[in-house]
Amino acid sequence: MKETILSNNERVFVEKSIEEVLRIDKRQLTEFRNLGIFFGKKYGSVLVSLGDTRVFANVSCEVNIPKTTRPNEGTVFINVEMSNEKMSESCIVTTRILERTIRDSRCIDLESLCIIAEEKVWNLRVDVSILNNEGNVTDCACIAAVSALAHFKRPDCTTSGDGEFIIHKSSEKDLIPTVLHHYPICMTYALFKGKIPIADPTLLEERVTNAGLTLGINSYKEICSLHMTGVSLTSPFLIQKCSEMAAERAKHVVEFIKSTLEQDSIDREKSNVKGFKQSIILTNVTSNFCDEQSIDNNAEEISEVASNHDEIIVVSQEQKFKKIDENTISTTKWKDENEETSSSDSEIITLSQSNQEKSKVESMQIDSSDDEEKETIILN
Amino acid sequence: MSQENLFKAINPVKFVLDHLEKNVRPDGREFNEFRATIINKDSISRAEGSALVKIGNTTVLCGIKAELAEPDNIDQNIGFIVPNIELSKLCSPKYRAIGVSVDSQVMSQTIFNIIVNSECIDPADLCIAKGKLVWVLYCDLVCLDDDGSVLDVAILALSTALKSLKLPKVDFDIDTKVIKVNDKIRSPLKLKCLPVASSFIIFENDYLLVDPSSDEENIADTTVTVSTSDGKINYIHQPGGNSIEPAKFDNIVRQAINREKYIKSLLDSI
Amino acid sequence: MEDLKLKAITAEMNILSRSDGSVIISQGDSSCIVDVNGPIEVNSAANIDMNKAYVDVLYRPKCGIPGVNERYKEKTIKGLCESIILTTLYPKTQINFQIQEMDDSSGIFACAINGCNIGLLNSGLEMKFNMAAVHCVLDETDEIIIDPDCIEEETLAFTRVQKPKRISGKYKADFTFVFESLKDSLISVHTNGSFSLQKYNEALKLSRQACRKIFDFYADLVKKCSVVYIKNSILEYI
Repeated sequence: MKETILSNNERVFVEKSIEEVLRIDKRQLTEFRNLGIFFGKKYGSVLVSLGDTRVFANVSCEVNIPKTTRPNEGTVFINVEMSNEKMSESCIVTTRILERTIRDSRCIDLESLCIIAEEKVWNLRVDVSILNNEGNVTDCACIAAVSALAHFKRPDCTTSGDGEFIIHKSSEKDLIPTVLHHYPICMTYALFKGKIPIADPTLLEERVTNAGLTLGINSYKEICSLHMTGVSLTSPFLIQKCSEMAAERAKHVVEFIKSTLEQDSIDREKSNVKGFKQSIILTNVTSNFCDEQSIDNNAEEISEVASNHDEIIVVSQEQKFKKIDENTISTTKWKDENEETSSSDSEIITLSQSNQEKSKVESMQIDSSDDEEKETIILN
Repeated sequence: MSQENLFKAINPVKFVLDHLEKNVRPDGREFNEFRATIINKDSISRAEGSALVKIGNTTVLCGIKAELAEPDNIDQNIGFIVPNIELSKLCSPKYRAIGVSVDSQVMSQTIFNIIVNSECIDPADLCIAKGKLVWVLYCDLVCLDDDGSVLDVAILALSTALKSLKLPKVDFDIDTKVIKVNDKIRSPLKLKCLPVASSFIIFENDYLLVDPSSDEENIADTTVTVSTSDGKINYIHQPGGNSIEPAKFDNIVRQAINREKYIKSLLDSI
Repeated sequence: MEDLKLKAITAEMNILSRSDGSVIISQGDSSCIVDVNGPIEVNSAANIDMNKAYVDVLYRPKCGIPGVNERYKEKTIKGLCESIILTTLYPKTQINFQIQEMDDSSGIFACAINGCNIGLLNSGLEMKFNMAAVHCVLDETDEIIIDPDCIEEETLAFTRVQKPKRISGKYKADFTFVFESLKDSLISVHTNGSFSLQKYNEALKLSRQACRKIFDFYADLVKKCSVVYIKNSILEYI
């Protein structure tokens, strides 16, 4: 992801237009960008797009030993990765907001992840990968993480009395969905002049005003987390106003996630899983599709490159020196070399094939006939 | 600096090519001649299995340390093999001085792939008690000198070390979970076969050289590594370069199988 | 012998607004997003050849942190990209590749290589030629299947297993061949499992047929959008 410089003109333009209740992408101040949720072929992977911001999330599970303080609960680990930057500041901030919103709000039924108390529990790991940052990464990442968790199904396992347990394949026993008590969704508002909240800021808007407010809220209007960034004077009234707007929006988002999940399960029943293909808009000029193509098995072998190799010089990565003089190459008798070795080789093969349990004398013969290795020293 | 070394430093490609035109390699070998192979078994007394292998100047030391561990939750009856090769500045200036280099990670992965693909060890043999106790074989390889074809030498060192591996007898009581290790009674690991890797390079689509030295490797167009076990191919790696015509490829495979036979007889005799 | 088929390919370029070249590609059971950025400033102080561009590849697995297996893929893709980009045209710069694995079956490696090629086409970096990767397997009856369905053990799909995936009993071996577009010659091979030379040659022959279809796909993809670009540039000119 490239950092572009923010010019003063852009800054003034954005600030002025917000004052006149106008946004660059023609949205209303409280309007969010289009949300798209696409589930993958396997349970627990999701690609979420919010405008041009794109986030991929995947949930995986593992059996582990529980924490000693909570012996009958599984754990949830959230990891956020941004492109190229390794552990940048914004990456840590986003991870922390997601942890507070999803893990600390206890929306996942952790007790259901327990297999044997004090011995074995399921650990869920949510990997969130931010592919494209066009503003409001937090919301997008949160929606991705929550919908991935809601989509995820873990394999069933049975335990016997003496601590043994078996993890079943999906063909043996149905997979178990994760239990979510509620769906907490992050809502970000950028604050202009400390009093004008605008919903779902783009990257440009985010950079013009550093002040922002992120609310983690579920469809029951319960605030799970509250995070404020930047320097801005705010009033309690403003937070109140934002949380009301956010609650309204959260309801819609949760409904959208649920309806997409439902659609996905219908598709799965009909075994018509499209996977991430459905996120590709085929009418776009930049996309292309080609259907299954059969390959002719009996077609003539396309002639190999052998004769004029100087046209293609594929330089392998290890190659350090350039070829300097093409003209100095003279072709030696590769073929003679080839025939010589092949004849001697075939002899050896027949020799060893004739008796599987070859005696020592014969193995010695192989050694002597093999003049590739002239000197061989065996120590010990 | 002698005249020869000067020429080599100024134009390394022409230096090698001029030799090849005279049907000889810079180090005096034939095109299809491997360098001298020296194998030393049980070089490290503290390790469960070890070997020092030298092919030409390339030297790799391998030590296998066996440890007890709990198995994976999904495959409860298989043990682990963890190969790890160290390619430090010690063996060649092309590697980084500190830290884990990408080269060594990639090579460790390649060694693992070859071991798994050749199916020389049945991981179930490493299981002591299902779901409770298995062996983990930490195969640590150290390259002491890199003069080309490190992978071949590393595989040979690992194969020899696996052959010399003797695991102590372990008694495991399922009820009391008491582990008793008897160091005096040791038994070798069952090996179905041993993989042998051979590297080849191709110059100017004409010269096929086996077991390249590092000078030859540096200027090669195409590098191919073929690993075989019991006459079957289990690994082919061509990281780039030109296409190899089928006749030439047949030759490569035949030479690799030949080499494997030779190495096998060598290993049987020690 | 059953009908050999190359699975349907779907791809869309320009899906990430902040990168120079990006693509989402879906091929059979595998799909990934490739993001190409470059030429940009070199930020690695390592001893790199300043006469040409430095190619950096980041392969992000579906779950967990990148391990040794990902390094192996990164190095291979790096080698391939270095050979197809005219790196000497961009001295003292860096070209970044980022691959996000999304649906992983065993064919993901071939899918990622094809994705890198489309990403490069989209980025506008000068290339020597195109490359196409074909994945095929040898099943237990010694038949070759191109682009097989998911061959992983199902339970493994749920957990992050850092060790390389063992091929399930159904298949004996799998191959990934990479071809270049000028003469369809083979530029890279990766194999798993054990097999005979004859089967290898057979698989190679079939894959070479299949790679043509992938090159045709690239051509169609570029043709489709270039029509619009040309139209726009003519309108601008008028």
